[in-house]
Amino acid sequence: MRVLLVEDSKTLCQTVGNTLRRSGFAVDICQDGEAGLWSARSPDYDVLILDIMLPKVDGLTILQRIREAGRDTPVLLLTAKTDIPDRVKGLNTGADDYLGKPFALEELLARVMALVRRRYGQAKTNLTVGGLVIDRAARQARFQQIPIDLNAREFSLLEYLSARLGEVVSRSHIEAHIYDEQVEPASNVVDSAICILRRKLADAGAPPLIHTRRGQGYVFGPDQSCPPSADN
Amino acid sequence: MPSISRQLTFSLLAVFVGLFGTFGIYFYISSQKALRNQFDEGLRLKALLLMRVTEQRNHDLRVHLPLIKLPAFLQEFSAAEGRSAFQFWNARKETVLRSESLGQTQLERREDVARDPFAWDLTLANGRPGRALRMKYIPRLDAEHDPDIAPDEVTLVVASNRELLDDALFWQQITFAIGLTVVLGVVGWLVPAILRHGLQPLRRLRVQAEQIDAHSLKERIPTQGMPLELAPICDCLNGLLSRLEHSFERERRYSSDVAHELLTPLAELRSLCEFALRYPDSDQRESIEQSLAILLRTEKVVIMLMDLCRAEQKNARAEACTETVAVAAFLAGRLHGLEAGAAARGLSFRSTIPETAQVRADPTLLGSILTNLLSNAIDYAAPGSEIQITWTATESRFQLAVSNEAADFSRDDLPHFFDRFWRKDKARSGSGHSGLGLPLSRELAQLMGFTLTAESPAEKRVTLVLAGALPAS
Repeated sequence: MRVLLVEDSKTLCQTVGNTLRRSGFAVDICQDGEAGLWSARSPDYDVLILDIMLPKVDGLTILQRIREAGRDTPVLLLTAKTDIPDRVKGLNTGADDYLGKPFALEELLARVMALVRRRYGQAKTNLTVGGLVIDRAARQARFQQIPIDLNAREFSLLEYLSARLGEVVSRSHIEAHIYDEQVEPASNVVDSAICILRRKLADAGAPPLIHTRRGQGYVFGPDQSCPPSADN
Repeated sequence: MPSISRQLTFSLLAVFVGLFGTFGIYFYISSQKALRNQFDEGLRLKALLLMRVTEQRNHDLRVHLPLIKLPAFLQEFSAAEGRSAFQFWNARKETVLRSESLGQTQLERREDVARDPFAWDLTLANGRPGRALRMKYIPRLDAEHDPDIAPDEVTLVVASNRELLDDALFWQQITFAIGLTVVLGVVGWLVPAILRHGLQPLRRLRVQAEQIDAHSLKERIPTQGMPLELAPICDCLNGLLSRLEHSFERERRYSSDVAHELLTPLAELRSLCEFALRYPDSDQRESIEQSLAILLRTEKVVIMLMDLCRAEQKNARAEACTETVAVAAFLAGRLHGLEAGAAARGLSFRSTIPETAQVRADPTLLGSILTNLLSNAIDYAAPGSEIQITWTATESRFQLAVSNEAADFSRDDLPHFFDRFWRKDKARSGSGHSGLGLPLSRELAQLMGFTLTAESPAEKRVTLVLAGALPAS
């Protein structure tokens, strides 16, 4: 999942960005409102984290502009302006969540994950497909109660594919949502990542869940005879 | 607490009670006297009638009652009715004639009182209360009176029952008492009622003023329909509210800015600590170094805030310790520490301060002001431009100006230069400027009796001017 962080504090950009990256998110960072507005118009982001008081263009203006442009990307306002009128104004402008400074990184992470789930219409934190349990809260995949050893990006790939359950997901979409600007994916990076993920799932004994559609991309899901189920 | 309403009520009541009381008592006494005079006049008429039928022949005094053709009048003196009485005395104080109504009793002559005619109260022979009138006169002389004999002085006392008079006086007293009570009652009710009505706008004003609190300072007291006397008070109150609103707004903004200024570094510190704890494999030294940098930045803001608070206290003026400072050398010392920053941005300095320029100032405060002005110029000057430091002096005053080109500057920014926490860009953190330097500098300048102002002599140019009195040569 890809997150855009627009924050003028260099320290917060660093700590929040690294925390999100280590949790498997692809993170792009803008330190002023002008660059933030330009980036936020992109459809590739699953969540936007916006500070309100930003150089050049403030966070509320960015929010207003992207909503006017028809972007429905979930937005979390991360700001020191924590008075009720400020919160109300932020939410009424189109924000999906509001977190005041100072904040706990853990809470920020949980809120970002909740926004991602909401974006893909999944209220529950666990998804079970073909016996494979994808635990978004614990950032872990299990098959028959045994955890599968996936790194953050591999889990993120699995999470993204599972979020688009049953849909054909193109390579470019995977690239856009899994890799940030810090990574310059080679032409076969998605295929390699899919290959590794398939192998790890197979090693754990899971049935084939990632199916290739030639010339289109990949479909995640069980065989037609094995419908998906979700539990808490 | 003194109350206008109570004071006016008491004053008006005292005035009305005094006026009505005095007038009432005067009226009461006058009417009592008039009633008695009227009664006495009746007695006098009776006496005159009796005097007309009195004749003296030699030493003999005769009273011809039958000459009085008024049976009802004579009936009053009869023993049967007994409502009136009379008695004549000759000059030898011998009773000449007295009415039947006296029976065996005598009327008094009241020789102890010289005034004549004289009236007094007494008890009649029948035990009833009466009033008597004594008159002394020279009777008519009979035709056969010896002219050699001098006429005698006759004393006549006429008395009448005064029960009717007493009744009249009694009812007059009752009427007066009731009247006075009613009048005072009406006044006692009317005066507070009128005052209440008259002071209603004042009460309305009080209620309106009471309803305004710290959260409703935008409200104003309506002056429409307000009495002429209260309109200026309303205007003053509205002016005060306006100033309060402005002041509260500034304080609210200030508190919010202080909170924001401290919340951001707190958020940074917290995230750094949490990140270091969450990921022990991360660069811990870098986290600590960043934390220290944030702490030092925050410390600077807190110290500036404290300096600003101290400078805003008026009694701090006494602490400013002035001495003669050679401005050119002093400024050179300050520039020394800032040259590296200026060079990094390709800035140069041009100073026109003569070596002889001197001011009376507290070196610590002046140093802080100059450092702030120069730092601002270095940070906001257009890259590669020249920062001009000029000195202008008259006989008694000096002006030290620091001027620089500023690409982002707009003349609309000038009024905000000395607002606490104001920055051209609203973004707060990471800029190295807290927005406290210029407000603090101005407060410090005022402590030394100087002024610090901002001007824009040309488009995209900012000049900060420190001005004050020159030391006496």
